[in-house]
Amino acid sequence: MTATDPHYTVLVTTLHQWDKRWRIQKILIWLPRLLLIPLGFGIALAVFARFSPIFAPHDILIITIVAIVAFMAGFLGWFFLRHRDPLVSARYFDRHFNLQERLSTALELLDGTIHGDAGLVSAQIADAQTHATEFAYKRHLALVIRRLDWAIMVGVCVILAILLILPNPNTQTIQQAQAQQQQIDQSADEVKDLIEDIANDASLDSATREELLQALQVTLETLENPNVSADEALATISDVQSLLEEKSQEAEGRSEAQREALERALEALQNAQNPAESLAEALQNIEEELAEQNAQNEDSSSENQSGEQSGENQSQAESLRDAAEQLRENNPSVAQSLEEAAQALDENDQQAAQEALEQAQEQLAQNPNQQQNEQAAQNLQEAAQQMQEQQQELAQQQQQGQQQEQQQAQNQQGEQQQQGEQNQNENPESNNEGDSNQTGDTQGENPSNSENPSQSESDEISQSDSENQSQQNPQAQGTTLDNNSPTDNLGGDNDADLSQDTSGLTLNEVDQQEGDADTVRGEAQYEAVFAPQRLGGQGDGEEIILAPDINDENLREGDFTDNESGNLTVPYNEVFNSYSRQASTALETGYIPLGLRDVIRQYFTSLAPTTSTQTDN
Amino acid sequence: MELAEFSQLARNIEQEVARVIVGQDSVVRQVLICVLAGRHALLEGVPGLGKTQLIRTLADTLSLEFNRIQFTPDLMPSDITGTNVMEDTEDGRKAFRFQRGPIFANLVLADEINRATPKTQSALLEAMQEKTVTVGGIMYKLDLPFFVLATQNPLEQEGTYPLPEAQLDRFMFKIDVDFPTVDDLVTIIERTTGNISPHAEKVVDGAQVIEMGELALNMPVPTHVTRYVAELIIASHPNNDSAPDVVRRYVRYGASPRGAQAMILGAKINALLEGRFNVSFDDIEAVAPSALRHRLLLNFEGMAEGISTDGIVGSLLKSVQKVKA
Repeated sequence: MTATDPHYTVLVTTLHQWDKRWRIQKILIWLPRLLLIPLGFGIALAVFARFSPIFAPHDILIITIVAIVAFMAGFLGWFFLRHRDPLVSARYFDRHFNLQERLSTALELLDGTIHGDAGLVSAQIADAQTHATEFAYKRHLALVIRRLDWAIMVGVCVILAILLILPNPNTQTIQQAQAQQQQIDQSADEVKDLIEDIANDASLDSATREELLQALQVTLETLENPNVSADEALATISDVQSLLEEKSQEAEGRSEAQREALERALEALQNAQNPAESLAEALQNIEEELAEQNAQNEDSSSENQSGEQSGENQSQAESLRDAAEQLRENNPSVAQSLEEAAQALDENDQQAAQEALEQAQEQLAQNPNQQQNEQAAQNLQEAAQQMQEQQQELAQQQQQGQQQEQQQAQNQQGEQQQQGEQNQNENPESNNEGDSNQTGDTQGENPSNSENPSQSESDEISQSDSENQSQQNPQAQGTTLDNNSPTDNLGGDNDADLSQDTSGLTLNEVDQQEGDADTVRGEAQYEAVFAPQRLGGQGDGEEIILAPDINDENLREGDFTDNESGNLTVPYNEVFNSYSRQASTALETGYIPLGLRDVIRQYFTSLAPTTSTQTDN
Repeated sequence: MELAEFSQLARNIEQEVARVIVGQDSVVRQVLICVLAGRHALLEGVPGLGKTQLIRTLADTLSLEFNRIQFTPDLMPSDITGTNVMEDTEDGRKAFRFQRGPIFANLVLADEINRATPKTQSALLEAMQEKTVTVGGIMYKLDLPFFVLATQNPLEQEGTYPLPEAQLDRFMFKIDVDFPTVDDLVTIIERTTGNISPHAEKVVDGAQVIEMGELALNMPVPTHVTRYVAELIIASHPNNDSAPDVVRRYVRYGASPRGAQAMILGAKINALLEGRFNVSFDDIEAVAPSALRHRLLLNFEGMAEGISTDGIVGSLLKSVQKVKA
């Protein structure tokens, strides 16, 4: 007997029907149970996300759905597509349906695996086929939907939905981080564009281009690093911004030097009895004079040449030599032409002098070097401006993230803190104190100097925050950090805005924002930092004089015989140098955030001893 | 022989035995399996349970030459196999003549076999395995069918000699004869205390028994069932990885290949007696205790704790996977 035996076909067909039914039955049983695994995974993620800002609710939902689909696809694929040999199925169903190995024996007899007496074999196969065809497999393989399993699965889904719907305090932090990452990616794209622009910029010399490309490439690699932090991104953008600005200033310097050289040449020509307003005009005048001399030379004989003309030529030649000397450094070709013209005048060769001057005029008209420098400076300035904008956006993202973390920390405090915040809303003064506590530093150093232009930065922030709160949202729930956001500050006091400008941005930003207070949009907000450049800059100039407490006794220790009055005896230079060295050491050790280093440097620059100070001391 | 005839004859044998033996259907089935397989069976039970009566009744139904040997401590091997005796010939000389012992029969009842010494017990070894008897350098063939149905009292009783392992292994089944139920006992009392004693009629002869056995040997056995039996035997050895814990702890020696042969052979006949044409796991499970219980040798710990080999066989049947699909 072979596998093509009709008995074999009947048995195999029957087994396929049973197998298909069995698989459907198992799927209905196990599907809700298996779905509990990805759903449980989703619930675990949702619970974990409430303690750690890793996944946003929509991320958890997506992950859960993907896991469910993967589980279902894997399970259904494995279960339905798994091939099972008819003999294996026969053995299984023999046991499952208590057929006492009739089907498996028949299949093995039919495919020749085992042998037996012919009569016994025929009887066995017939017996197996009879049992197989008459067996009510649908009754034994009933498609039962276990409601309890499905109900449990639905319940787990509901739990997951509730966990996803309930507000998660970490969601905003995650979104903030994602926005930061997106901003970093955007910055990386813009750095790529900058690299292309600089690579194709013909106005740059090769050394500058190479240096810029190298710096931008390092910046791009840093930004494209998936593990880059906002601080690192901010630092690298700041570095490349500084480099671009430096190059821009160099290019501007070169252009300015050329322009000054030309102006000096022009002045030299003007001083050389040439009233022309520009070198071109001067050259044009010289050329015209030379042309007239040529014409006169043609009309008159050589005898008519007088000593006055020779002297005039000598004077013009000297003027041209002075101009050439001025232009030799920045425009050697024009200088060379002027030298040739001067030499021709010395030789009384009016024609050659005219040609040389025409050549100098053409070269001067072209003046490619200055145009290139100006264009390069402009390009670099634009690039620096882009980097600065990116830096501002990153700093803003980072600041918002810090604010979010701080707000979460506040939200996790108990009811006592909330009551305190409510009291702050009721009492603006106490609200000010709360703000100062949030900003964290120097509250209480000078509480009475609200109008003092020399008050500290933190005081300004506190004051401005309190004003903003009282004006914008009198019933604020104590979330004073919201008032510190840049958008809020846009509508607030300019003093407050400017005071925040110096809290976290670079010196360039400060400079720009001093010029235009509206440009503070997008600035980062750091902790309030004492900004010496504000001293006296925004206030009304009122001077606060600290009155000594007459009840206090002066503490006198040590030997004061040489300094009976207690005057300051340490020179300011020494004090300043000591503190300046300490600040430099701190800056070099890297403990100071990159964005604050320029502020600190500027601070000590502003405190640098001047002549008057030294005199006072 | 046709299947229908086999089934009819088997049914008739059981019915005739049931006329005399009350209850004990399982025992009757096990004994019948051994008879149809042409192998030997050892029935163990306390005195008075009808072991001897069962074998005698079976011999009556089979129409076979039946001998009973009552094993006693002073029984000699020659008392079983026979001996050469000197006698006068017709011509007046002296000559040895072999006097057949009771072993020369189709169905030998070795009653209380464990009351004889091991020396005498060993006299059955050759007959049971080779179906021959050698006396005085001459080998005598036994008539077929030949099977020994032995009974023994539990070993705990006085005056018993345990059968050596080689002897035990030659018994296809060791059948435990349990105490009858109340209803069976009532019936036994009624039948045996009256004037009329039931008597079993002859149903088959020796040739038919042999044919029935040959037919059963052709029963197909699926490969996974055969493999299951082999794995059972392997798992009965304590040093094997597949052995269950109870085997490793209490068994000294596992079953021999004769155990596997006994299970398959018994399962084949059991399937035919059940009206099926193939061997199933149910047949294996039905014959496994009888086929293995005397082939598992317990260690000291097992004997000390009174572990039953039937329990170990049950553990083996549960531990070995039947279908790996």
